[in-house]
Amino acid sequence: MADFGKNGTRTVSKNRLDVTLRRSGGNADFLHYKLAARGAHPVFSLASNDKLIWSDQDFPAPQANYDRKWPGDDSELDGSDMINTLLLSFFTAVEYKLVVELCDKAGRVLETVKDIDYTSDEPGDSFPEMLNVFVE
Amino acid sequence: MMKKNTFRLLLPFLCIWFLPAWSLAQDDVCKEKALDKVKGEYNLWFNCRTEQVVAARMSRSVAARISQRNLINQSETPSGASSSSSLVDTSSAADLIGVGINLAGLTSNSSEMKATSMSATVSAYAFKAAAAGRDSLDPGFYEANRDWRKLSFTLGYEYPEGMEGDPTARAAIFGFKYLPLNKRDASHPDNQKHILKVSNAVQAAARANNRIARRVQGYLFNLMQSAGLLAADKTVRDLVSQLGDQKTWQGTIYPLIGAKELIEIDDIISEDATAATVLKETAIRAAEDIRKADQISFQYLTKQRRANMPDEHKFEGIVDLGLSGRGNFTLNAAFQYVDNKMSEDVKGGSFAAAVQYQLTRDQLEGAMPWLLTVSSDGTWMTKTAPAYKAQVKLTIPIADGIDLPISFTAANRTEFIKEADVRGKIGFTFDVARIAERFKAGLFGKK
Repeated sequence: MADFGKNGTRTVSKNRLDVTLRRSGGNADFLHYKLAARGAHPVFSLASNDKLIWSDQDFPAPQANYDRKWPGDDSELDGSDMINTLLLSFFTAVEYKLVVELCDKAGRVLETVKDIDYTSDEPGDSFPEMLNVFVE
Repeated sequence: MMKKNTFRLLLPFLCIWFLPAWSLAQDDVCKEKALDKVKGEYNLWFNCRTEQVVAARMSRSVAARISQRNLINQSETPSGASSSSSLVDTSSAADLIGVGINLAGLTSNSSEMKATSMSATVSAYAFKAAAAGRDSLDPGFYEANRDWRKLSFTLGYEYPEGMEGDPTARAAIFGFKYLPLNKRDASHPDNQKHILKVSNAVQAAARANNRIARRVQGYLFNLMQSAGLLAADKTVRDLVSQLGDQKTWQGTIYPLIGAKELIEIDDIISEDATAATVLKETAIRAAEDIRKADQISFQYLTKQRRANMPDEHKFEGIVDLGLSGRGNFTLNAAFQYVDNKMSEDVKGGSFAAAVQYQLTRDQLEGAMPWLLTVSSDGTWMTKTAPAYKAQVKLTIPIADGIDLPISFTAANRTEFIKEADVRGKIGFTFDVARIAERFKAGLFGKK
């Protein structure tokens, strides 16, 4: 039985559903999204609440590795309680590896929040990976 | 009395209307996603519920294409196979490496024997990636080297039936295929518009997923509080940390979700499921458009046998053209040459053409389209009387993912008619076996 869609598999090494960013008192924690893709043209999108913050359309050509540090600054935050969904489409990609790291202001990795592999050979398959983000 | 009769009349319609939602909720098909000891978790369950709602909202015609996605790739056996009711091969080639049985079936005097064959096809692109030490599925490399996927090589062997493993009877198969036009390659510039459409749909669906997830978490929060499992001073943040704990999710939260709660959660999802539904439909339609795109290929195959056994050569051109979105035209033309060591050589040509046309338009609701296929086939070989066949096939969808092909074949020689029922020089069949195969393959979302 597929984990998602018709043929999707999802293999979790690490998966937290929530994370807290310290953004006050001189702190500036951020999330480092790293996405590796295989196939023809990866199609994905990261939305925080209703704000689109990352997409394959941000890149002129398909590539094997993408990364995004979020939030770049406080203007990217939509309050103190957000849901981030990274939606991965298997339209012309067959494999993704997602790693999300919680980093401090200096870029040191505090914790790996997600480390998940996804595969599917069905163009109609997609998976929305969710993360609740709280800011304090 | 009048009211009672009206109710009786309406009852079947009410059942049809409400039964799917009721049955969806009564039997949580996503239970395994929630409770599996290794993989079970809230995110998988939530996504599964969303997929169920989306599947129920999707148009029947598009939903069926999840399993029956391609109008022109053969779901039937290749035309060379004796059990096939298809006359025409369609052009296709493996992107990287493909392994097939009867892939290289040649039609000749010797192919009257039922052969067991195995062949492997490797694209020039796969060699290029290996030589460059690159991952062949690196998206950047894949897009930059599209032309290398136009050429592929085939290597294989074939035994006549009953002589499997006999090295003296084995035929070695060699060949190559070149696709001067291949709009079915995902990286073809013409397909960028499809990728953009899907990408836009993904963006909308990601936002919508956040809205749905927020509301479902709110619902579960209230459910937990009503059950006395979350104190009044707790927040959604406390709920989310519990959702992320597999033990708490499986042992405490999921058991609170009964039939009534499932219906209410599905209602929440359904209210904002348009974006997810559009994404699924867009991806399926776009994939089908790409698979129906124009493709032209030329192929050479040879079977080389030992000692005095005949060698065979076949050069074939295959053209697949999409016709105004509702039709497909396929043309095969082949030259065949049998190099008989002990007797005169046999040579000739074959020609096959097929037009497939979707009789009814795609509808967001309602019946699947009916397909009409008209095909013809002629073979001219020296020392053999010409063989001509013509076939009209109507494919009638009888349920989502299941269709009933009714074919009518006429031939100048009855031995070429592959239908089960042959009267004179005309064959007629209801392909019940294919329907049985469809059931075996599990067309209702199972592999």
